[in-house]
Amino acid sequence: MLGLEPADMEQDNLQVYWTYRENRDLHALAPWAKKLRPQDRLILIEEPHRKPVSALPMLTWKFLPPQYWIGKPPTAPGN
Amino acid sequence: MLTLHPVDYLIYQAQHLFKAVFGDMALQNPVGELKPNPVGVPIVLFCSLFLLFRIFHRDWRGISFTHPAFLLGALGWILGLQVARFWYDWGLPSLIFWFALEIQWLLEGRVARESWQRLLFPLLLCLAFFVSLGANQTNRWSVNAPLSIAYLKETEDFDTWLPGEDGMVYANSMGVLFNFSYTFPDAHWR
Repeated sequence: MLGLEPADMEQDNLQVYWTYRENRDLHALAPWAKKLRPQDRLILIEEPHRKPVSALPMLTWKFLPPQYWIGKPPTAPGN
Repeated sequence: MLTLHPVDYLIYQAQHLFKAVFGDMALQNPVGELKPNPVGVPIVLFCSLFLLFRIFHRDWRGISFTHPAFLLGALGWILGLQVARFWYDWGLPSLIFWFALEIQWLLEGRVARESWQRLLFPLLLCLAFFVSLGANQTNRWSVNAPLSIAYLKETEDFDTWLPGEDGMVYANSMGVLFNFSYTFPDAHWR
């Protein structure tokens, strides 16, 4: 597994990240949700009551207690 | 040298530093450690206790408020009100060192070297350290990825919820990487 610091993201991805960080509004992550390929996932650390499906309805969501939300695109296996 | 890419490694470190600190968006909304540090009332009160003790006893021998460790700690605290790193990296370690010197001065001047009372203070410190380390503060021990993955594996289609081969994980927190990389160290994701 390879992880990169936010500062090393591509410019468009970094813009999405900074916009989200301004007020932690999940709507800001929509550009990422829309570009997910079948093998990609959007994984959020959020409280259980902050259900991302209202802000990012284009993904199917699963909550993993105690704090992870995994979103996968409609084209992903299992949908 | 162990990376086998010594030049690339150095260039990457320098680039990352400038991107994180001087990038356009970083200047508008810096990462947490580059933001101002809270005033930290407990640390100020703790220093004040030492000051009051010395004023009360009119004893200014030994280590005191002109010691470089205290001055560096105070400087780090003040600069930390603008950028937290000054406090975490310089101020706090210096003040901890200064606290140790002050406590040493306190014990040496008032408690005999062979006295059992010398054990009391370190015992209390050890007890506080043990209790604070074991405490599940902000769910630091109960919140972990393996627990979540154990839950995920109980679902029938758990494989479909993980990224696929050569998949990309987008995340709102680096905590996702820190936690999942230990659970799936060989995963072919980025």
